[in-house]
Amino acid sequence: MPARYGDSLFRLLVARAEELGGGTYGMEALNVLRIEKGFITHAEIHGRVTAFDIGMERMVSAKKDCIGKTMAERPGLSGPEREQLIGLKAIGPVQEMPAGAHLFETGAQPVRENDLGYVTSSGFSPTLGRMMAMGFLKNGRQRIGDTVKLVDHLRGVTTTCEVTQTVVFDPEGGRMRG
Amino acid sequence: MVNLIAKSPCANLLPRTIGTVTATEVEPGPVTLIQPRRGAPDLNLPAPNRMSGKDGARLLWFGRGQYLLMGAAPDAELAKHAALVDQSDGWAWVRLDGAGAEDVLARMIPLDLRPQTFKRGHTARTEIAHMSGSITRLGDASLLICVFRSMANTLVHDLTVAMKAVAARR
Repeated sequence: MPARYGDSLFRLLVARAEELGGGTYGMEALNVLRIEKGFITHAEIHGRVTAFDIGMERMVSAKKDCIGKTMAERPGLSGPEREQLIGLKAIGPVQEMPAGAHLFETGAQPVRENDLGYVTSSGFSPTLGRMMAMGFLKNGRQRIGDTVKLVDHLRGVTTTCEVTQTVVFDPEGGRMRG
Repeated sequence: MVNLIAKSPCANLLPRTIGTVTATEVEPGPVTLIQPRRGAPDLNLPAPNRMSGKDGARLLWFGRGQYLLMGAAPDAELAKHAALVDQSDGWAWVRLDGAGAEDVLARMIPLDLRPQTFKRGHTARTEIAHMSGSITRLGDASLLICVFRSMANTLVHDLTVAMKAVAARR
């Protein structure tokens, strides 16, 4: 499609989409949709996480070698001491769960020594009618259902969260696979 | 099939006259980048920094080993000797006419554009207000510039600022 028709094509596509009840959407909407599905992006895979941390260790073949495999198998790069990808649901009056906030045990002082992890992505889901967040929590996959304290020292936000699965909308994938 | 409306890069932006200088969009028709292959026969291409032809079919030197054919489609035979890339929708072309056109462009382009140095038929790849582009002299007070199509709005904005500044000093 030559660029001279780009403007015209875009308007046509928007008009056709609106006839079907659709329309344009922006980056923020895209971000909300991917958090609902637990899809990760650079906020999660920021260079300090392993396949184990994001629950994708089984995608690394046990039979074949690959770049990074030796490193990934080193002690300390997998196991219960690692911060693992989880979802978060606010259960107090404060629903806000800003990305960058840190996680602590509910009774613990919110200081560096007690740090258990942090929030990586956060947004409001119109489908679920609530805020949702993803983050990393020490031994997080064994802590689904537990309650943790969230503190954002920079923005002055404190709340209590339930640890959830990362996929909060259609976890069976029925909508995608039909 | 749907009817799509063609829109030129500077549609709704030009022409514009400020002081003695007028900026007009040029729609050159087909534009093809020609890169002769190694060992190609003499294709009668312009020398570095020179243009050949005139309105209807111009050939611009467009960087080392690169030439831009404007206004006419290349002969199919040429594909044997050169790589041809259609860039008809790639560039935004603007002609600047009137006394002081060089003064306007002196605020955007780091080249000596005075008529005694940059003569009719001279061309150069250069930066235009920090955008990658090309400039060609078409006449005594007539210059042709281009930047990437996606930067047409910025080009017109920067041109307008420069045209206003030059007009204010007259």
